[in-house]
Amino acid sequence: MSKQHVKLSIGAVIIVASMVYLMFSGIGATGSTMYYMTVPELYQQVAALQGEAIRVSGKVTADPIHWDVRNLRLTFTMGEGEASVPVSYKGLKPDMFQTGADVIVEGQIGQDGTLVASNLMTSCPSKYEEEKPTS
Amino acid sequence: MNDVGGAALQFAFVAALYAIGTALIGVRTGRQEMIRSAERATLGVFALVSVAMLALLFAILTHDFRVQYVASVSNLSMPVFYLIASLWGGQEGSMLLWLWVLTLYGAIAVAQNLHRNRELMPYVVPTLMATSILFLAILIFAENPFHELPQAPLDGQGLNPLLQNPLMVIHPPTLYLGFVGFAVPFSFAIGALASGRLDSQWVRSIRRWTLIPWLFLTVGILLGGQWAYVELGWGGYWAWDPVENASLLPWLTATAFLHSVMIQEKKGMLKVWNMSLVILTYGLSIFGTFLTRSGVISSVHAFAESSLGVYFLIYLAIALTIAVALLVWRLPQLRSDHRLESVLSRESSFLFNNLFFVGIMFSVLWGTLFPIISEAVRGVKISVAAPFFNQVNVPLGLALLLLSGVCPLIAWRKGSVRNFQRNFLNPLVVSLLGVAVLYGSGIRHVVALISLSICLFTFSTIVLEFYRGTRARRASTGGTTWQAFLSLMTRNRRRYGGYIIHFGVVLIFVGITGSSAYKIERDIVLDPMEQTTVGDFTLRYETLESDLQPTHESVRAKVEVSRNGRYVTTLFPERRFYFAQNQPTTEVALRTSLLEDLYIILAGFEPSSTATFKVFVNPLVVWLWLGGLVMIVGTLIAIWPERGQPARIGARGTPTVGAAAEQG
Repeated sequence: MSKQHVKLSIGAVIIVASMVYLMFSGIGATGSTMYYMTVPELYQQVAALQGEAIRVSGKVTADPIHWDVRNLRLTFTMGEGEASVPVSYKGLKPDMFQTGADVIVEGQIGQDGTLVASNLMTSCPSKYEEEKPTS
Repeated sequence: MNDVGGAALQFAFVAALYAIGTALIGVRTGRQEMIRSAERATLGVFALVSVAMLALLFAILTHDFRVQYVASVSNLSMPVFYLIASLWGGQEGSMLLWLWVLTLYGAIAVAQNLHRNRELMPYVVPTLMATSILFLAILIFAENPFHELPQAPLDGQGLNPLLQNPLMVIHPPTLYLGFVGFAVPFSFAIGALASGRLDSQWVRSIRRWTLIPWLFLTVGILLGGQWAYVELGWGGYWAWDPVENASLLPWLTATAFLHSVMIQEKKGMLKVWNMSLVILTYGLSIFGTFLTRSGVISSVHAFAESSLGVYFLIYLAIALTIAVALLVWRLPQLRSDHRLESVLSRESSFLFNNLFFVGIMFSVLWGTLFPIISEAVRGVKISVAAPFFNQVNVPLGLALLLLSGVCPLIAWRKGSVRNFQRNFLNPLVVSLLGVAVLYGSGIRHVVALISLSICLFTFSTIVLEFYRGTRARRASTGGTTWQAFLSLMTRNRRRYGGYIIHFGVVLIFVGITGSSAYKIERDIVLDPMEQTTVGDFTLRYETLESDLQPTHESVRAKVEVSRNGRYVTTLFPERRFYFAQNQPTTEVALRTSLLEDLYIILAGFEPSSTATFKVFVNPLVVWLWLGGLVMIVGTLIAIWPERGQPARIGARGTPTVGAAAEQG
């Protein structure tokens, strides 16, 4: 290996090492990662998950949806099967939000077991189609 | 007509199988007529798939709701424009479009190479046809667009109102033209590997074939961002969502390839690397389609969950195994003609550039797949959010931008200190002065200052290149500066087209910097005739107006916008309710200027007409879209065939055969 190759390799190693470092420190940084679960999975361990950043997927249940336009506060229940969790979200009500809609919620479990959401996504701004009637 | 469409797909399937078999037997036995026959079959597949497309279009236009697809994406009240768009508004239709674009590219590649690349074609055809078979199999066995319902509904469900936007009409086809197009360079790479014709000719043949899909993908990604921005109403254009990432992955490796391929053309180096990038780009474009369609990663964009994933995974495994095996087999023939001579050379700066592109690709892939990886390794699904992507990619992206300024100014082979002083002193001074001015005008955001200083640096190196080139041209040919400038451009389209693309990238970085560092977001509640201020703007909510249309009911707020006591404009943020889909939509009111976008959403209203608004002031967003336009112009300049300069190309040390191929 020539001297130039050594220099070049050192440069490349430094770059690769810093990229690897960025990737690992990025994963460790606050707000970067969240436990991702369904409502039944959350339901089983609500107490243990208090204060952790979580991302939960489920359906909006038929329980009353309360939409306080003035304060942009949306409260509803998210569920799947037997399991359910109350959600409180501050922000806009997404267009496709309605009973039965698939939603993904990001936030934390509060003291009273409510999921305080910082982010609410309906799982289909561009899901091109409704649930298939057949299959 | 529906039977015709279904039958056309089945015939296409058979024809594609025929093409693969005939081409491979033809090349084994050396029978040219068999290879020709396989090529004609490729054209036949294109014709048959076109028939299927027309049949589906016909069903949509004639409102044939017996067809399940037609009933699910269109209805009687939709205008023709959106009826045509619903051809790719659902899963089956968009797969058919994917396939059609692929067979179109295949037909063009065959027609273009009737007398060129003859050794490669017997492998190019089967590779393209194998990809077609993947999609044909899905369309025939899993997601048949012509599937009929037992009983036709009276009216269809109609296209999702969120998709009824001109941007969304052109975004999917554009993206597909990009994604699918990478199949062509891939099949040429396979052709070169399988046939052993590994000289630089195949590389030259596919440069344009990579640039064209790259352009479409670039435009498709930007259009997607713009659609999200104007339609989804969250005030942003990029969320690091898995589906967005899926479109970015092949773009990153393709961009890396477009850079490193220059080293192979000029120096005969990096052959294995380039081959790997082509294979990787193709793999990622198939993988991206898989991610989007299989529902394996939950995304806000996800299509309906389906069993398609298996098809893609099996295909991807086979294709990559064959490609890698061929590559390993040909390794001895892929040795470099030259060696790197200096760390400070253009060659090595291209190498670093590639390292960054691939690094960004890995980090995006890592973040996107992290939920699956963590579930496999630790048993818990952990999802990765935007902060990760930003933290990793902001420094890497800025390093790349800096390189794009540095790279063109370093000499080939070996740079020197003098070379550095000559080329970098002025850009450095400009960039430092610029930062001082920005700091003086009150900008204290550190990352924004770094980013803008790099933007200025890169911009000034580009200007310097144009200035020097024009001056040299004028000195040798005379004429006015403008003439010299034009002749410079026309004689070095690739090089100066490339600089213009870089300029577009600089603009995009400026846009991203401004809109992410200085975004203002406010929720406000106003009674009629009440006013408030957001940033420099004073917003006065006047009245609420409602309106009944055939397809929807709309309610809009009239908001008068002024700044420093001067009237600016009147905006109408609106909410609509679509009857057919039983769905409300938010229509953003947007006022764009070069400095900032004022973006108002009507979040809701009470019977008393008290309304809640969400207001964003997004600085410099329009620079993103302008940068995209500049990138299109630059790419078109670079793609445009250079004519009548065999001498110059010859002087660069490439054989004239190659020059002829480059005209294609």
